[in-house]
Amino acid sequence: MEALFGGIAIIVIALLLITLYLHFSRSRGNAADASMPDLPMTPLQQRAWLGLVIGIGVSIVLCWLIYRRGPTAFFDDQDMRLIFYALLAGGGLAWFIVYSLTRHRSGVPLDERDRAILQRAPAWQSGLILVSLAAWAVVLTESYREEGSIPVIFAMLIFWSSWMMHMVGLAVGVLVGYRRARTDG
Amino acid sequence: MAKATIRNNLRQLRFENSEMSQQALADAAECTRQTIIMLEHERYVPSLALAFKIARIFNKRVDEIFSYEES
Repeated sequence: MEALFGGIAIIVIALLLITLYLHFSRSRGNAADASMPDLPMTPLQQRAWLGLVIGIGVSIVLCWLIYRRGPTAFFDDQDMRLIFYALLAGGGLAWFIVYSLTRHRSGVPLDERDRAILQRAPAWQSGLILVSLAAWAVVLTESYREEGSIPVIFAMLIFWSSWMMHMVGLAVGVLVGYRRARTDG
Repeated sequence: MAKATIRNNLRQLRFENSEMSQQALADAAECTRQTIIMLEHERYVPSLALAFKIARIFNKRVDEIFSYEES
């Protein structure tokens, strides 16, 4: 069980380190190239920072909740499972409604440079999801090797963590894209 | 292989056009102000569509604004 929490802690620490890297590399870039003024953040960049903060925040809260109640005990409670399913369905529905309402709205402030950055971002998304799946594979194998089986609830937790990595990975990909575009063009 | 750079005189053109702000140019060209700043610092090569749009805003030909240079 300690290995499990260790794995979760490693993922959360890695996400925090990525955030710090993005923050400080931005400052270093400014110092290295005095001719470049402070760039105003694009709407996409602002949304990516927001997504990163929310993603990391939600991940920390979930890890804390799971840590407090234990990964298996957390879902033994039927009410808790139903809340989780409701959140899953509600979140999906909310996303679909927001997406449908904003899809055709004119004046979406995305230009060709933003689109190019956005198109390259999924590389980070898939990379982070793979890292999280590798962490789960190693941690669960080491934790439950003796028992020979893994509690079924980990299917949910793996899905949940992949979803968070999907959200955070896109934000990280966009922010790294802007960082690279600033230095490499 | 020689490194190619796309030079431009956007900054000068803005000042010649009633000191047009970067934001005003960005709005007219339907791009972000960050893109205009990157263009002026020659850190971004625009698409043909954006180059033509900018040329039309200043009532110039594309080659009067953008030029190709090998270094």
